[in-house]
Amino acid sequence: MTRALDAAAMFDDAPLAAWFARQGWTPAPFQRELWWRYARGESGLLHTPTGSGKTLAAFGGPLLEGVRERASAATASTRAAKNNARAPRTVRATGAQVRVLWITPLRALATDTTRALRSAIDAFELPWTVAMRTGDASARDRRLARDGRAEVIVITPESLALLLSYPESRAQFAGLRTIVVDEWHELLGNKRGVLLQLNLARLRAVAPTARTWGLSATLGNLEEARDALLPHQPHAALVAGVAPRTLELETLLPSEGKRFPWAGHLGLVQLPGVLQRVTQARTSVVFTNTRAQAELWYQALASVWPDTPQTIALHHGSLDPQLRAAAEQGLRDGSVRCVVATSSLDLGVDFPAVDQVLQIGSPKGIARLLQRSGRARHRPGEAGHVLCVPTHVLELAEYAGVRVAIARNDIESRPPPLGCVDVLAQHCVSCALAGGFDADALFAEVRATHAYAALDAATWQSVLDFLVHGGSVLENYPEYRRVVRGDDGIYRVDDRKIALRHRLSIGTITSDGAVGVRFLKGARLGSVEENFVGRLRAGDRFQFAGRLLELVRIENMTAYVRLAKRGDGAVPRWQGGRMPLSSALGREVEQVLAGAAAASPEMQALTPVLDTQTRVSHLPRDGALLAEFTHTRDGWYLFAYPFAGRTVNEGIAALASMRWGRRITNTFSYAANDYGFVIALARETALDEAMLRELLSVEHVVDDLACQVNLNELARRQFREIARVAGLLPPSLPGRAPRSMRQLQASSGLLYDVLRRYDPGHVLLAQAEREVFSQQLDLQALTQTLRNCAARRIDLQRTASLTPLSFPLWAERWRGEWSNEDWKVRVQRAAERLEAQHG
Amino acid sequence: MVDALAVTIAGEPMQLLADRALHWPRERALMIADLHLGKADTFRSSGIALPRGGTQHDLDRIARLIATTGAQQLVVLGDFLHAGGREAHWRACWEQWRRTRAALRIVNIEGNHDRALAQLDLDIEQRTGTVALAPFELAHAPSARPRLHRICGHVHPRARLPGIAGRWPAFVLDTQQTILPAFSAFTGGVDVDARGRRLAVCNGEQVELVERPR
Repeated sequence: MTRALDAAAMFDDAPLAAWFARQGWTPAPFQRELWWRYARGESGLLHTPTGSGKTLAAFGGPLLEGVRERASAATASTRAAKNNARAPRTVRATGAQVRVLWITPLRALATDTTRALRSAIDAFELPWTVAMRTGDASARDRRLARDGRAEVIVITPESLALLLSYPESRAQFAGLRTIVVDEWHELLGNKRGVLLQLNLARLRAVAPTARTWGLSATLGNLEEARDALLPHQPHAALVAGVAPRTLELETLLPSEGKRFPWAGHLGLVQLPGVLQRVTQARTSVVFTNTRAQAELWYQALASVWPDTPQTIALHHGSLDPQLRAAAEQGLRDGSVRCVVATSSLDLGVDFPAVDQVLQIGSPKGIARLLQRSGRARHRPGEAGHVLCVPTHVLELAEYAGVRVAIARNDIESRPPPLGCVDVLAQHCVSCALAGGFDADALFAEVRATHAYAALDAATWQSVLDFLVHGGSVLENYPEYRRVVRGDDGIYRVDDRKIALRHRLSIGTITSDGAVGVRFLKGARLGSVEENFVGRLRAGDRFQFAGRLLELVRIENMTAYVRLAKRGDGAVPRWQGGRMPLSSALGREVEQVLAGAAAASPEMQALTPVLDTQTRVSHLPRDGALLAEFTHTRDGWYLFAYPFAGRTVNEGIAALASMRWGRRITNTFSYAANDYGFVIALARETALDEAMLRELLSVEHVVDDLACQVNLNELARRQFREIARVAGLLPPSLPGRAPRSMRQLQASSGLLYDVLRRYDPGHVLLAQAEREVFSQQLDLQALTQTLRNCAARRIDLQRTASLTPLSFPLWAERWRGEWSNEDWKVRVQRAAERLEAQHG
Repeated sequence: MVDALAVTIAGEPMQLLADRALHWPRERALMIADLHLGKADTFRSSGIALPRGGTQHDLDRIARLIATTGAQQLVVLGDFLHAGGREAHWRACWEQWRRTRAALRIVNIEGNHDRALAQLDLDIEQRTGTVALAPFELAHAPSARPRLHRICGHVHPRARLPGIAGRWPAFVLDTQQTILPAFSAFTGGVDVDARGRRLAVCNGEQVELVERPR
């Protein structure tokens, strides 16, 4: 690395260095290293915190290249003029104009990146056009990008997939020199990244000499991140940027005498404290964990906001692009003092004007909090700062845990998904649309990616069968048509309706049926989920986009609203809002509760609660697994705390319920949170340590999970995303439902049931089961957790009441159940409960 | 054996059948709603891969109900079809099924999905609007103010119950009308509020009233 740096230092980057000097900047060593490596034709991955100059690190190389080419073209034309020949005019090969493809995961980021790239290009007076191609881009930009009439295209992975589904796109990218994948860590761990891997392989086939640079935040698995991005270059450069800055983590403790809630996720008790801190700073970003939480916090802050109403704004992914852009612009020019945001503002957008970052509620992960704290003003050499606002008391332990982990520089890994056949199916249809594909050639291309390196011929064939015939048992799908294999062996789509439907549903981000929200006069506000609007009647009020709205009517997947005068309204919930605590952070929390970091202000503040926990039960300590068995008015409850994150805890709960059900007749409902799980029993039962140990045994885990009825239920849930990605569900389009799609309404659950019954060997069902094991249950982590439990002493406490640890679990919504009681008995019990509720 | 629940509707003894049908013993009539024949075919022809089997399964379910109840007429309360499609696979299933039951009287009350039905010769009696059959009136969709006690479908009612996962097909037993669950297994539904309304839920094999046993 030192040799490389020395060589980079020798490298002639005078034009860039001069420009840097004019701005009063000095190129960082890693920037020069990247420019040098780029000039040598290398690809690689740069990992550095946001705000450290990664955009220019990646774009400097292409700029220098452009400047050099212009110079040599000028020399050539001078020479030509001297020779008295006709100066050759620069003839642009039509359609092969695109030089740089800048891929960014977030639409909000694209605007800023486009601006930054444009100003650099202008500084060098290069005749390059920059076009943005995202869901939010203007019609002009889309046209430029679609026709390939721009040198630099800024694009999201989904828009790239869409662009590559047009036959003419291949020619347009033939002259591509540079691919930059910005914020690669955001894409690496999910199916969006898999889709991008496939499309990068397409681009490599068209433009084999293009260099690819990934930009990433620090991750626990950087080498894997590089290999997933550059599978064709096993030893590509991994360049370290500047060291991550230290983070100063401050927790907003409630004023004395105020009691902290034991559960909950809104934290509005803290409103006065938050308001005070926000008004003290010039500009703040208040991060929340869900869109609903952002709406509620925005509304609460706005109602007590001392400044003019225009100076506080809301930002989340379901708002109309114009509203989001207005909030971002306000942050940039300083006209907005406070933005309440979700992860829609997490990424790289640089807001030099932001003085302060607040985090409401659980940080969820170490890397995530680091990323969010990076939104505030960057002063080189200064520590970052984040103000954490707990919504319930145990989050104090999470903050203390994050601080310990950051001090140790212990950052989570993001494992890239492997072998997702749903994404592959979608990609194949796109390829069929883009002029058609040859099966063997595409198989080879796909296997060259990290995600599908282990794809076997049989699975590949089943994906082809799914696309062409509908499934593996061909006669099961009469009159099916989607992709057609021509006499020449090329797979194509020849039906315009299917082409339209496919292009509308490209991508892997799934949301519930989205219903557009707009005013009667026409202004768009954004979209909410269909099942929320479905529960409203005309005249009902709800809060959205920071306003109290009244529903007037629903028409063509659009909810027409007017401003409501006064009163209250429900806040829409969006599915998929609940992110699990990372397992790394879970471990920290357990250690912190067991006594580590006892001196931190958070743990000091937590002392009274921990004392209560100790008095009524125990703290998790001495390596023991804590469990509590309680009887309340509603039933019998087992609580246990493996601290393995919501996902794993839920899997263990499902497993233990089923095993318990083998021994006794009862109805078991279970729920989980990041710390532990609860199993509720409808009828009285006894429990001892030996029995609990058997429920948590690591023996036959896979068999027990697989034979459990609930596995189907989990797979059914997982199938929603798979069905959407693989094109089994028609796209849901806010504001317009093409007539041709109206007959195609079906829930993924129904599709799942039909497939299971009539084509149980279907390739997508296998995918659903695999994803249940790898994601929903996280089998590897689950097995590891059970092994840990087996090695520990079990501390089974019989408690007379709920404890600080069990209360949040008790307040959780049930996630599943297992019963071997008669169905009718349970319906009658439900009826009794309903009657009790109804009076 | 499919479970049945005896109830009295508008003074008439009736049976709620666990497989989503209503039996009227006095008229020897089996009533179902929202059959949606050929739904999977519609999906397939639009490029969405759904295996066949659903149509035959639904027809087999009707056959089984007719055999258990001894019904001599089948009343479909609309949405007999999902969408036209003459050559589709469902047609062959239907014709085969109908041929072996030539004596069965089949009446369909036209629903919103049945536009193509008039052009198809399916050997069924087709009615439009509301059909009075004292003490009931039969129609596809519910009404706010029915003249007689209305028996209908259209809304595909389902219910969520506390303590039991899932959404169960439900009979809505209002004083003025009875809404049947959608018969076809490949149909979703609309949640009906289980509070304050009399419902019976079914799971295919069992049917149970959602009310406190008195």
